[in-house]
Amino acid sequence: MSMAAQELEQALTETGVKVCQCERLEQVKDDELPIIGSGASAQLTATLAQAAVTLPNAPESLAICETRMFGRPVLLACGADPRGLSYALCELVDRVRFGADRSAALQIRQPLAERPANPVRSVMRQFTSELFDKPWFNDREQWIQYLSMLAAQRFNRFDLAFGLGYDSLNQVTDSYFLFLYPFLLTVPGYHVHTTNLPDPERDHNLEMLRFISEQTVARGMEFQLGIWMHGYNWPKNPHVQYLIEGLTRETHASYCRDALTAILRGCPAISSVGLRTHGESGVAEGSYELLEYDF
Amino acid sequence: MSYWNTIFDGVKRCRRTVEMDLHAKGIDEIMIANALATSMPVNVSEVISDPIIKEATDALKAGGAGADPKDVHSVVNADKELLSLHELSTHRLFQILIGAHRGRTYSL
Repeated sequence: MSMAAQELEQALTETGVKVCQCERLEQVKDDELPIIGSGASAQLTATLAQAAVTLPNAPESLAICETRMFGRPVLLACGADPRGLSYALCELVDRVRFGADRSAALQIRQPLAERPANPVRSVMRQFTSELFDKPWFNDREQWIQYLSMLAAQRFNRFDLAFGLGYDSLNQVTDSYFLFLYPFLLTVPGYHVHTTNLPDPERDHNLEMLRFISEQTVARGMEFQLGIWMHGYNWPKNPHVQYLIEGLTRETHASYCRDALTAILRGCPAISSVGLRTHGESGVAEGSYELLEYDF
Repeated sequence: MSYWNTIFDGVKRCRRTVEMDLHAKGIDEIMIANALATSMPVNVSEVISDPIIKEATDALKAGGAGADPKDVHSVVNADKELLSLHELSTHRLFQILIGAHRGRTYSL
């Protein structure tokens, strides 16, 4: 939400409007327009009722309207929760930046009250090519702009997927990030590594994953890590630069378990893991038995 | 313990709540039960089936009519009319995403 407020301040400043943030309405001068960002509360409901507006009773809902508080006109941008409030502020940012008449961008003649149609609104981005995908993966400035754009367009999940470039390991030519774990870290107790991948580059990859996931969460979205390939053994050929060494059928499962745990601990902003579990994942279907946990 | 059970255990071992989003293809009730046994939130997700996207995809796969498969220019010319189907699919996905697709159809 604070990022959305900063975006609004920046957008207004870019149009030549002087902006200052105040804690209390009394601090705003008479010739200035107060823009009030608010979460759901009894006072807010009453204020909205004066303007004949109802904030939808649903997560991530928003309302924007002109009304009066303490006898003076105000522009009210409110949300049912932090995401809803963020969406309300981002709506104002859009109007300021892209409105045909920017001077009228903050004149809300028709109150706005909206709720999401779908609880999960996700975008998946895939890394499948070392040549084409490495530049954007490592571009921090790109991530800041891209994730801000997604949040402003009311997406609430970003899914960064790896290993989806192949449905079979028989004819692999570009294996960067194909079997994810050793491209990100070493796991104590195992001697698994990727050929031709310098250790600093491997460490930087994990640092980037942590950065991307944290920047995603900072914008009010959930971060999902998509792990689509679980096979590690692809044929050597002249086009393949990266092979996985040090892994066997016997250590495969426990290595993946420990590597996944290490990634989740190293990147605490990851809140979801996407898994492809059928045969195209590189692991034969039916590789499980009924499991019971004691809690 | 077999592979997927071991992987689910890897999520559980991080000692915080992490959702597991399982691609639906190939899983069954045992896989779902094992994922749920970790006490983590579990989703089963799949690419949606939509009649408009399916029709557009089928048309793209079939290619333009009357093309000579041995002549690249002939194939390109025959496929030109199909290029807008990519855009149509994207629009449709966006409609679905924002919930604006209900009761609406496109005429091709």
